[in-house]
Amino acid sequence: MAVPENAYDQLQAVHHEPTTFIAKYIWSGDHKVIAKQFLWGGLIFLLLGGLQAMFIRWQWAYPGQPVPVLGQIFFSDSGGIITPGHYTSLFTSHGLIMIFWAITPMMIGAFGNLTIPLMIGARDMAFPLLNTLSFWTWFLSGLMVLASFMVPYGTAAAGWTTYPPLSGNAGTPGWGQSLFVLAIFTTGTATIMGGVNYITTVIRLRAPGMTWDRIPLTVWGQFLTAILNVLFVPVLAGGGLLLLLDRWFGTSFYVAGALAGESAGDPILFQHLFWIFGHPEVYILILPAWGFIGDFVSFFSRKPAYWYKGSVWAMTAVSIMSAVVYGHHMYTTGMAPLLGKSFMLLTLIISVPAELLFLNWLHTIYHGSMRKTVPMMFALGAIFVFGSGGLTGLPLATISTDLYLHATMFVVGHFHLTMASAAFLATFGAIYFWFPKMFGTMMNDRLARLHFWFSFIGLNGVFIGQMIAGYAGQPRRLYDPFQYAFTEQLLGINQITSYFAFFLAAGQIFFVINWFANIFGKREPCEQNPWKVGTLEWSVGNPTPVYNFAKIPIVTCGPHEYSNPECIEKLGKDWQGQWETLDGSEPKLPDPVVVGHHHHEEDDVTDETAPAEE
Amino acid sequence: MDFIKRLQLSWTRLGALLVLWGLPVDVFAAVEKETGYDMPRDVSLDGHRITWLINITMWFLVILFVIMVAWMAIAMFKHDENHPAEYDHGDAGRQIAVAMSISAVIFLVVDGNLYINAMKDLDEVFWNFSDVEKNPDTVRIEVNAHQWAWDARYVGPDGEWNTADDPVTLNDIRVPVNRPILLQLTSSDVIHAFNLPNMRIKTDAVPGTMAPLWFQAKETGEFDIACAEHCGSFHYKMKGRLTVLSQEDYEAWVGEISHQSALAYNPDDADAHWGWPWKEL
Amino acid sequence: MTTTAAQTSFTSALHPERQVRATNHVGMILALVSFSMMFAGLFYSYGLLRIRAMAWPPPGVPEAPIVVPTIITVLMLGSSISLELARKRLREGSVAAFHRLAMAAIILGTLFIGLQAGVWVELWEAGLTLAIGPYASIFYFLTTFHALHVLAGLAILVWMYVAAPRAPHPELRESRAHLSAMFWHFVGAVWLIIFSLVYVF
Repeated sequence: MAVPENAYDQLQAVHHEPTTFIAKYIWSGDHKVIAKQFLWGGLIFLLLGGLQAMFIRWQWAYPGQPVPVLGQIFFSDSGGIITPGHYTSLFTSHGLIMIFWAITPMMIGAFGNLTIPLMIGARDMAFPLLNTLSFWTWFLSGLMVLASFMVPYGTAAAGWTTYPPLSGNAGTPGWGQSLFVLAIFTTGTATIMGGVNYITTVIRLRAPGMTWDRIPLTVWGQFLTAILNVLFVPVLAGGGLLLLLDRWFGTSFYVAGALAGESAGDPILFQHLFWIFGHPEVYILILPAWGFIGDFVSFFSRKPAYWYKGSVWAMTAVSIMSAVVYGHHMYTTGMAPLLGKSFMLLTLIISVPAELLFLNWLHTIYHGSMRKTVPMMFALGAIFVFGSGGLTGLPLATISTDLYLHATMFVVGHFHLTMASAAFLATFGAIYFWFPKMFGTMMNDRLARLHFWFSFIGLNGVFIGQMIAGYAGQPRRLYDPFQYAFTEQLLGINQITSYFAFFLAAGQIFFVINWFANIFGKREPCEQNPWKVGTLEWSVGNPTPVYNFAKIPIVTCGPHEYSNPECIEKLGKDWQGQWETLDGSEPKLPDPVVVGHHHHEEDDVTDETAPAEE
Repeated sequence: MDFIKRLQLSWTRLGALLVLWGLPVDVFAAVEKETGYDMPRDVSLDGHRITWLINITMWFLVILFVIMVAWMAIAMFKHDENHPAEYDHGDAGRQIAVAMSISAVIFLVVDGNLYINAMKDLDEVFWNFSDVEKNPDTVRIEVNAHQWAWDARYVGPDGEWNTADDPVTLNDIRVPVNRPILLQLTSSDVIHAFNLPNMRIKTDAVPGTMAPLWFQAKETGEFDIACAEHCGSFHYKMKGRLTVLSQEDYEAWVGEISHQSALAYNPDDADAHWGWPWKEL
Repeated sequence: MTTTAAQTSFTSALHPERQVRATNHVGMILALVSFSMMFAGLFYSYGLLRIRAMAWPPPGVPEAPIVVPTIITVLMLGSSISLELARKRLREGSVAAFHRLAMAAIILGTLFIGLQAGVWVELWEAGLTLAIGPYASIFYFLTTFHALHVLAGLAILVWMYVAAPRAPHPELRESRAHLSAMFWHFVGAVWLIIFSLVYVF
């Protein structure tokens, strides 16, 4: 282990290699280990959530028919047939699991943890103990979710939106719903812990020279997501807590109608609290993906990210506006017309920064030198689904058109394209991209491409199919959608959609094989920087030492310095690492400037190892 | 209530149901089924505004989608590894102006069209309840949603709501053609949503609140009422029937139902008196 | 790319304790922002329920007292002032004075809880039970939730009492006291809002 010379190194402890099993894999404090814990956990729940989706698709393709093989395991109490009660639990837990126990731990828990310290040049997160606690709190919440499936009356069944009074005691009795809400509260706590950690780390632990305009877009995505998490998850926690109080203690926050006592609460209150969280949540689930996409398109077009600052401003603008558009989920609740129209205007406006960001990606790949690597394919796929899905948000943002489209499969197709598919593809792209950093080898290219094509075709088939059904008026969340005269003819499109879903599911086997074979199989370690990109994590060895950087790097340029003619001439390659200078000199520490003081020559540090007097 | 009275009541209710079935409209004619993937038949006066706005927006989106795909295809196949990359940060003033202009144009055309038309449609039609309230032709109906059916109540000849002569029906709303129909919706248990795809509109039925909805049918026929908010295991079966009748048929029907409801009226049945004094909008 | 930009963190890099202190402060501020948002959601709920109610308080409900709540508000203010004085004495180096003033803050906080509990019991027995509806629900919940945070704050103050003087560096000593004070003042500020909304208006 190199002896740290740089004064900056005094700040961040150099971890010692862990020796015990517990310190290595269970109670680690090392952000790279915690990242892997979140990734494994998230993948397992992704499998569970995906299975639930397949059951829903089975029921829509073959209503009332027993599910082959798996039906005997999961629906044995009804002979393998999915009953209406099962069905309501299926779509509820599918949504909740995918959001809080699959995407969040994978995209934010795993990749936030992995990338932030490495990409900003830090040795670890600001609060390693908090980081460990965050994972185990999330883990506890996962156990609660699994427990909720095993209690009498079954698990939560009021939709992922959990609207009371259906989610109250009268609507959904039993421990399952309560456990799930408690689980959401618990995972929310873990998310806030993580968010505080990520924000503090990015603000405080950037290496010298890593100014805000040199941070990779991946880190910007994680940073903004963490801010939204810290601000809005607590509102959900409040709303959920009030629901639990109604369920457990007989309070009447949301109780109305025939069930109310002397005076009534307001079920719409829950919707406000829920969507004040819920709308920022969809941006929480896409900002990291935007970050990955923004970086990957630059890396693999060998070209700087087009108008980097514009992308950062766009992502920031979307984050800021995310809280004031939430009412578009509530247009049909009978809200005051002026309020509704305000939400409509703001929702239409929020599409502008998103369009700008999208244009920047398109401009980046144009006139580039595109390498169709696996991460690039996933990034392009994510751009495609996000573009398609995002466009369909416009008729949903508009009140009059939403009067027809609300609560139809059009909405379901829209958010599954923009959120689920884009996040899915971007996250898998991130897995393939950073796999060598996490595990020391590359994943198999051919299997990865098969995984990509099955996923891309499958995702588009399913969700475009849903949008077609929704345009024809098929409402969502129906056990048997074909009860109505205006939906009977939609069995065919639903069956086709289901076949695409099964195709999507089948394609995941390529990933599973690839994942296990390359983590547990005997493989040659790959080179240190297989993708030839210049962000800081690729400047350290393979495998990455536990302390990341022997010497905290001094940053010399931005993360997207590709195909600079000066670089090609002087360094003989088309990429400049953020730790490299073009003339081959040692990077210099930037002048220390104290805010509010005048800069005096004698304050400059000339001897790096002697602390200056202040 | 003693047993004899209860028996009489049940027979009366059964009789009322039988009478309903014998009424001038052939209720065994099912709702006409849709075919294909287009929106359901629009039989409303104003639904075409929504249909038009959705369709023209979808065309805009198709155009943008095609541009996106073409752009990506060129980048993928012409600007591939054999093409030299441009070292361009895209932050020159002119480039920023171009990017902002493209965004602005898309916003003004697509979003602008949506916004202007939606505001017009809401103010003139869909959220314009005051004109409908003032219109002497308006038929008023109170709807109480509950798991898993729709109760509907009309005002009855005495002009007072929630009285014995109110026609009250279950899953069966009949309205006259070419007159505004104004609904007030609530629920007695969980949140439901009253959805009329053939009129292109829906509104939530929330316990403890009243939400309005109005439409005007321009054709007779029978149409589905669907529930559009998850309300429990049998949400999928919460189907009602909207029947649009000629003026004469409607008046005959509503008179008969009023008569039957008055016969079946039980002053002790609190649950049946779910109506409320009409809330002027 | 230019390399200017104030590198204040770099300057404090030459003083690691100051770096750690600043980092902890950022973390605590973020945590407090998060807790504030939760309370904000609850205040929003209070507002919505109140606006939508026919009458507030509903008829027949016992009147909320004003004397004891005012007293405990003063106690909370006194507790925060005491804590700030304690921090000042700690900065000056007099640990004994710090201990006295910190203990005063803890005692005042404990009195707050005790008297608050008294108010709850009095109101419950006078008929303000949950059966009344959302008025009772939000009253008991806001005050209980706040009281839980007061308890957490008391635990933090006890920790501070013991751990602050024992920190290895003066920077860290001050930091421990400062972080604890931030949380305690936050709890006090939330109380002021609750007091205004629930008792005064």
